[in-house]
Amino acid sequence: MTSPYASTTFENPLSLRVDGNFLSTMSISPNGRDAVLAGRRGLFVIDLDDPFAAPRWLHHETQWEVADVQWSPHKWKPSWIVSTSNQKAMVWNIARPSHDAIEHVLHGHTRAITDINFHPTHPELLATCSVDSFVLAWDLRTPKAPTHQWADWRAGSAQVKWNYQNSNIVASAHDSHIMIWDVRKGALPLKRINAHDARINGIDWSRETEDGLISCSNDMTVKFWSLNTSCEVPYYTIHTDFPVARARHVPFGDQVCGIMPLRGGDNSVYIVKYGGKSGVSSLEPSHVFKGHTEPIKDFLWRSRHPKESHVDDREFQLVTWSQDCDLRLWPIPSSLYKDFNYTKGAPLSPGKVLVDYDYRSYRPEPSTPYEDSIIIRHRGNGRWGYFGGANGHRSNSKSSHNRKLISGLKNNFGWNSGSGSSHFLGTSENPNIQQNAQFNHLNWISGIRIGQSAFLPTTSESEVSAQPQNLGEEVSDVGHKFPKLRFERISVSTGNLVISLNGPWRSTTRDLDDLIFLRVEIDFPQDYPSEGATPKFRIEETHDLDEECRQELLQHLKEISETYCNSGKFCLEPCMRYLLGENVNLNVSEGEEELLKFEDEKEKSVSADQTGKIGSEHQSISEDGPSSDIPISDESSEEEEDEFATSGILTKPSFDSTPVPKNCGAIWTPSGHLICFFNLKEEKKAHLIKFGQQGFSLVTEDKNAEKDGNADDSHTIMPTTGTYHDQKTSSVFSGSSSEDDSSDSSDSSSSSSLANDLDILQYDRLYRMKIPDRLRNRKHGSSHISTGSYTKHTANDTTTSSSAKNVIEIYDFSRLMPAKMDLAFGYRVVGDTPENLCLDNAEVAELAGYQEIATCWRLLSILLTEGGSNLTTESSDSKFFWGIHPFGGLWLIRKIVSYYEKIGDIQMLAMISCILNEEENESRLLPSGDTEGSNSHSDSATNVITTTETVQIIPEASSFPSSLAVDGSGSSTSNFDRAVPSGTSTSTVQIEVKMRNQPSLEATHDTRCFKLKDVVYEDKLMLYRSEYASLLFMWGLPASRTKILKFNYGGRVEKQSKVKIGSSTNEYHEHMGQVGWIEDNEISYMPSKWHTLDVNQERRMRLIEKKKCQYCLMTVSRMITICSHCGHVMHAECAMQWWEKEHMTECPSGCGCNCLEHGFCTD
Amino acid sequence: MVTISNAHEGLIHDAVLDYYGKRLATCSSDKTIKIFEVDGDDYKLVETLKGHEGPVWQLSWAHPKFGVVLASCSYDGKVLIWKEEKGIWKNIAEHSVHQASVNSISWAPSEYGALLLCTSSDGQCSVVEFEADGNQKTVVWRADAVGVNAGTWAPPQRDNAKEKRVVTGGCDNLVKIWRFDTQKNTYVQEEELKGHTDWVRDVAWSQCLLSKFYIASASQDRTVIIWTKDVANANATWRKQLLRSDKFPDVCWRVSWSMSGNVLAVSGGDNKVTLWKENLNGDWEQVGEVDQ
Repeated sequence: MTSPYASTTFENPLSLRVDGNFLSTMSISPNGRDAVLAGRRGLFVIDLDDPFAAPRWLHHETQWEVADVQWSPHKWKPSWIVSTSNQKAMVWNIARPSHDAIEHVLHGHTRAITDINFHPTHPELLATCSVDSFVLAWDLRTPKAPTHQWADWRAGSAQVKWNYQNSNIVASAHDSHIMIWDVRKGALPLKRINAHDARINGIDWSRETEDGLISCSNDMTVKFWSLNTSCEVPYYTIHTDFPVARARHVPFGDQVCGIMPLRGGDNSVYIVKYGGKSGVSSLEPSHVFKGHTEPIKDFLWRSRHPKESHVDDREFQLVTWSQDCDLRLWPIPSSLYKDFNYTKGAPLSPGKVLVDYDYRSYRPEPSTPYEDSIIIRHRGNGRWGYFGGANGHRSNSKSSHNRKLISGLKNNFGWNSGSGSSHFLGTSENPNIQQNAQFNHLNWISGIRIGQSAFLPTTSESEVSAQPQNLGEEVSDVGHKFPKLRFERISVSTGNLVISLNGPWRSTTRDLDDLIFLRVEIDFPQDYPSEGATPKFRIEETHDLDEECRQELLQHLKEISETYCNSGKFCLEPCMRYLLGENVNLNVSEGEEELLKFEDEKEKSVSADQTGKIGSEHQSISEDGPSSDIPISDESSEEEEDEFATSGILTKPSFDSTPVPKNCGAIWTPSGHLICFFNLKEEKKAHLIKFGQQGFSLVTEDKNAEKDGNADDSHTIMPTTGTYHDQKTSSVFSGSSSEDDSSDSSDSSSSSSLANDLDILQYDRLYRMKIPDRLRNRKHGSSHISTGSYTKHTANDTTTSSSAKNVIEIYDFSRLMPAKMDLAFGYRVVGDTPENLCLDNAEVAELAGYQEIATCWRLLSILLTEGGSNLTTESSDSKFFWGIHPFGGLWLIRKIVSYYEKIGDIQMLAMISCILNEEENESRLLPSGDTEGSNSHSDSATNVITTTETVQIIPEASSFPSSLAVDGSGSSTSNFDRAVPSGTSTSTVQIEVKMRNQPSLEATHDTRCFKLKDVVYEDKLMLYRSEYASLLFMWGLPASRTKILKFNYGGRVEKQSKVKIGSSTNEYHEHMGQVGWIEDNEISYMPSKWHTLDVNQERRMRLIEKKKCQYCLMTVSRMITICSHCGHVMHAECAMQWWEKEHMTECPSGCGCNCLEHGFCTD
Repeated sequence: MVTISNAHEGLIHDAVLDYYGKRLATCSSDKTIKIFEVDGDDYKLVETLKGHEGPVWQLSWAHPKFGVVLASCSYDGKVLIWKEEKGIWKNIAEHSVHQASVNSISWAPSEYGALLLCTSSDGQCSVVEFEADGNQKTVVWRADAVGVNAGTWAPPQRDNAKEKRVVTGGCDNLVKIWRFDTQKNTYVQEEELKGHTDWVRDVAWSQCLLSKFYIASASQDRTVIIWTKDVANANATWRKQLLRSDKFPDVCWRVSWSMSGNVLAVSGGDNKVTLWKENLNGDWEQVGEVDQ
């Protein structure tokens, strides 16, 4: 194609889905044939005249979003492209091979470059501007240093533009003002225009006049300046209802400009005539190009004109590139030309010349001599090669391209395979590798839509059943339907395909277990499919393929294709089915369904092997939702199946009901953290964050915001009902919204931001994108859900190993848990009077910021406090306890318990049950038969402390009824036990009892200590405690756990001794652990056998080996203490902690043994 | 917050922290299991376990009293038990009674001993008991005609701690509760909960046992159902409640109850995790969200 007038795409609407949304900016070659998209992984050069051809990919990985790419507009440098890479500008010469295409690196800025502008007349000059507030002019003949530099010093620069008329003038936009520089004037600005109220996004000089300038800004205005008239006030202002990203002159017509919103504004491009306008007005577009679903990133004009033309008869096409990943070509309606006062064929204005560019594409990789010598094979000897003389160069260059694409993928594909499969593209030897390939030509093709349907929204599902619209769609359909086909060359524009496959054609009788290799070349005529326009098939001769058989195949293929084409249907699919060994029904009228039908036996026999897989897969999927496909990560599915088949582990059931893998999950941990894992799927809208031109500063902002966010996260306590939003995302959003900030908000240097790998990783995760496949919508159309997830999987496989495809995150959601770990550290259950314990706990809760819990504890303490002690001495006589009040005790306790049960706060429940249990114990302890004693006890105010001291020893007392401290008959003897270090001696204190008002109190005493048991079943109380205990254990608080459990075991033993249950049928029997896989399992842990000290030494040692410290539950080896009675073991250190620091008297195992009384054996 | 990117080459299917929250185990389509040590915001890969011949679906840590023991199940139909001793991970046992992919595994509450429930796409469930003498006792029963996708244990009730129950969800769209029958020495179906219209993908039985049993089931019909029953009343029936009245935007993959406080985490096909809690009126409301 040498003339733009041969272009098939110029007058047609075209939509190109360029998934892989790492691409951020676009530029167009001056001849209008190629478009270049630039992004974090390099440049894509797309031939707009042959969109089906795979784009050329020039790899260049950067951390940073590419802010701008510019194709040189000069005829003498047609292959030069400049793109930004953070603070550097890369000058590409794409006439050179891709691996060596970078001609210069312009390094002069210290911060990210935001804009590049070629000099309008001088091909070697260009200007760049940057966040560092500098504007640099470069001469590419001396690329080491800039030739000029200008700086605003304060505000980073967003745009730089050379004047079209006066080549010495440069304008640059800095924050909300514009500076005009003159190359001859050095660092002093010519003018400074305070143009806008917010950041300026775009400026554009007039093509015709020297002083005409358009500026647009975030303040939602577009301003038109005539600088000779006034630098203060624009002569015309348009108010829009969106921030404006670009306002640029339209290359045709008279005083027409295109306005592109930054966001909002219906994602359209507005064309406005401003000729003769003045003052202020709102946006009144003459024409709107509407259709993108996401904000447009750039709009450009593609033009063509006949060579050596003396009249202005250019034609135009609008090219837009949007965040919705569509590259669209919009034809210009001729009415629009007229409307804009552009008459085709009008004489050129004096002095104006239309430049005739070479109409060539730079998409094909340029060839090198080395490659030429290796791969060209020529037609001859009855075999056919793929290249014929003239064609050789191009194909050849394609394959070198291909090698480059794939070599990065550890893929052996390339011409080294030697079989002549050396050429083309994208799809490779193995379907799974195909999925792995970064670039998939089939997917590329499937993203292209031409003609009227191009701009229709892609409602994927309906597409599937529909007939393909053109050869490109057909190829991509077939390619996705038959993963076993290898497309060695796809050239939709020339209608040439080379496909290789394995088919059952060793002899004319098909044997489905004996497959041979076939390579087929198909040439499609221009008007395919229509009557007479049948494709031509050629089958390569191989030694496996019988000549007779080959002729038969060709004959059949001809029949099939003629049948289909004559009724206007696409024939590639039936032909491929035939080649794969399926029977094809030639009765086309019976419709698709019939066509796809399989012969039953065939399906059966085939199902396990290669060809049949396609069919069976297709069927089972449509039946039942989840795909039967095995999600296999790296290896090919064949291998997987073979493995199973040969090892015989798994005789595959006829229907594999394995559900599709879960793509993400969230699992709670005991501590209230949530582990989430995500397998990242394609982010169609990966641009959560709009990347401003100061890509770099944005990152640092993100980082800071994120840190702040996290810090907040750990300190603030949100109400439990409040919706928690992922801090990270929100902070990222805030980062993006501050995009408009000038550079001074981000003053850390780039190296410092690099320092934190993790942040970059996260940043990467958000920005790094993959080439997705539209396969999702096409492959298994009928089952939306399962196919979606299945192809997510494959999509993941297409990514490189370097990009984030899965992520595990652990979030702290402990604020949602009613049980608070921090409280557990502070809470006390023993060691004081219950009311004081309540007050203590209230304080703990208050300190930690849990007001509600603190209040509850206060309430409880009021309940437990004798009314008298808080009142005057007179009233202390009339003992009053809230516990007996109808609104107190039972009612309130019941309410509290049921409330905490409802919200599931096991911590509160257990704590209440323990603290109130002490009360219970106290009352239980009082000799119930002896009213006198009990009266005296509850009566004497001085005595209260003493009695509660007694409470402290209740558990052990109750577990060993023989040593019960209060002996029932002695009314006022209390046993002080806890402070005794040796554990054996006890001291008793005689307390004199004064009896006052005995009769009046008699009635109240029992109700004072209301029983929690009356409100809640004791079983339940024990359940609370044991659940809380296990929680404490997980939190690493074994001591607290033991204290809580004491209440359970204490109560239980006491109960048993009372009820005298001989057998332990109902006993809560804890499994003692130690499962079979532990080597010497003959020693099982049997504490009952341990009560004597005369265990022989060896046995004891062995037991010790297997034992765990009862305090910290770690295995013990030496430095241990063993209780001589219960035989429980502790580390010496733990024992010290337990007995001395915690002042405990009872075995930490909760067995109830009063170890201190029995003595230890230490080791 | 800990973030681990690209822990595996393939899709990640499960990630679980051990009892103490110190070790993170992840498994993937790449047939490996990885063990990370997590400390605060730091993490460190300590081991990669290889042994499965297919994608590894799920992991489960045993109670620490059995040692550092991890179970894993895979598409290859096998369940492997891994144990760490003195820093060395070993595969100490294998359980391969299933004919197809084993989709879920779950250790029983530690009170029952070392019991592992496995559910498989061959329609069968199995409970394998690792006894103190090194033997394995296995109970296998058919639970679904097509395949069982998930199963988990009921929390032990104190008064009849010996009574073991499990709940399973499968391809027949039902949630089934099974009780261990000591006479028959197998699990017998006790309840059949109907409500979903597509495959049940996950079931979770809340281990907080206060007044009610809570079972959550997630399904491909884009719903999550909460099944509740009074603990005290043995004759009570299971009550069905949709977690949210409208459907979720995408299929629901997974449900998980928090250890305390009954907060339910639901993850779905839209790569979003939502957290739900019952308010005092008994309605479920969303209390949090995590987005990919």
